[in-house]
Amino acid sequence: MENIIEIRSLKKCFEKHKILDDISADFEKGKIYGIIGRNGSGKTVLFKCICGLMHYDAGEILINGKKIGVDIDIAENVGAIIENPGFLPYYSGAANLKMLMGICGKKDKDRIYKCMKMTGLDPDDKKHVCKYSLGMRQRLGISQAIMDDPDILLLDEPMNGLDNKGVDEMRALFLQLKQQSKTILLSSHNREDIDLLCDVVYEMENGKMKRNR
Amino acid sequence: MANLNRTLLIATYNIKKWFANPRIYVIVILLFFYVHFMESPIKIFSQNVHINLPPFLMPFLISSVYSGKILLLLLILLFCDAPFTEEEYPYIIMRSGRKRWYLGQIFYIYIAAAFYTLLIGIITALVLIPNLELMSDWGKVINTFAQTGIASQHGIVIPFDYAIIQSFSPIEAMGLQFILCELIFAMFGKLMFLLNTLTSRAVGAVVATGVVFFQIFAENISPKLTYFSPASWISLSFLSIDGTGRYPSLRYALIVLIILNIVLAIASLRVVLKSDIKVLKNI
Repeated sequence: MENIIEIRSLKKCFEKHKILDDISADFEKGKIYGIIGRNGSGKTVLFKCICGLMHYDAGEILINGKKIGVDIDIAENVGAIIENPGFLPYYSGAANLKMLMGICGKKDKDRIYKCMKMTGLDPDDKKHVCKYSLGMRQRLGISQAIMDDPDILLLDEPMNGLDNKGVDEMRALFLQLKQQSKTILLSSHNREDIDLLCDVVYEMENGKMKRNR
Repeated sequence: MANLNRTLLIATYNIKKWFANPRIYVIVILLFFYVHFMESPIKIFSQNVHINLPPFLMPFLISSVYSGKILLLLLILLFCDAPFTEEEYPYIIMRSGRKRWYLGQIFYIYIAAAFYTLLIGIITALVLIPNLELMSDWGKVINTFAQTGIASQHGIVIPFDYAIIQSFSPIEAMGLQFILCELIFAMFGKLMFLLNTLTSRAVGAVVATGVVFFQIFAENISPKLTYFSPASWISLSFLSIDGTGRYPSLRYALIVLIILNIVLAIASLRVVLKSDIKVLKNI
């Protein structure tokens, strides 16, 4: 299976504190990878470095053979939820996604509607995002991540705020996306998510990442 | 054209955040009350003499002692959330790339500066209703104020500089004032963007406030210092229109402001390309 993400000897420090310490890993197409670790272990920083949102101090990250920070500044064909999903509060979910899709230079209302339905949201709901529950915002965040049909998904705690039904729905969705040969990296504190979804599990501790499964 | 549309979308995304932001409403309300306070005596005078006023008071309002500083302090409040990287920022930059995202922020700064300038101009005229009259000249009231000392006798603190009336038509003066405001406001926006990206949000606001108050220092110590005080150049009557006065000329101010805008834009781009830009809280 081809590697879609390659990380080589990645290092990142904040004020002399090593957040990522010589991390190397390969991620194949069409698999789900779990990244586990306690709060502050560097999972979000790793995701940000892969996206290109954060510069790394040493090493390299290749996405489809292109080096982040050299060949491209921001990772291409990547959908992500990183930190809290943020949207314009006085617009509906669909309107928010339309604006974000427009920034890509695309217009595909059907695709937006389909993705919202896949995450359990009603695309015709005119309710403003400021009135959404945490779970609804999370679902909208996932819709935003998948609507451009990216090959890679980076999902930082995607089940945050979801009820049991929502968690089941998102698990089914991620497995469906895996069948479509998407590569998914997800971080979670929930052991059950990791056990049920992930083909490979990495654990992060003290800036190091080691493969558990 | 498609790329320009994408960049404008990023700029207007920031504008759309205004509707949910109490800061914007505070700026509009404070601006309204300040202008109303400054122009009330003029309106009362107009009512007493039964002569209406033209909508061209903006250049004179800005020339009053405190107006320039207050307008700039409200502008600092407008741009205090620079570099505009709140929770939605990752979703935007991942779709646009750093350079297009940055260009979108520069467009936003110019658009926001233009809106703010337009707002000042509109409020300056609106508060005169029902004594407002659309006319193409300065009108009798402004001419009288500029050529006599009668304004101060009626508690009017806005200075009506005869040099402005003599040198420019109302449309020319308004146009020049708009350009000065746009360049100065955009310069402040870019300065805050650069400093906030390099350090933290507080630094940009503090330094920008310092630049505003340096104006007081410069104007009271030496005319030469005003050549280094962009905040002073917001007032059309402060500048030496024919270039022969002690203070900077209009041409000097325009050229330096354009240069400052370009330098700050280039510096900010370099910082954006090299920095880790943090996601910040909405303020």
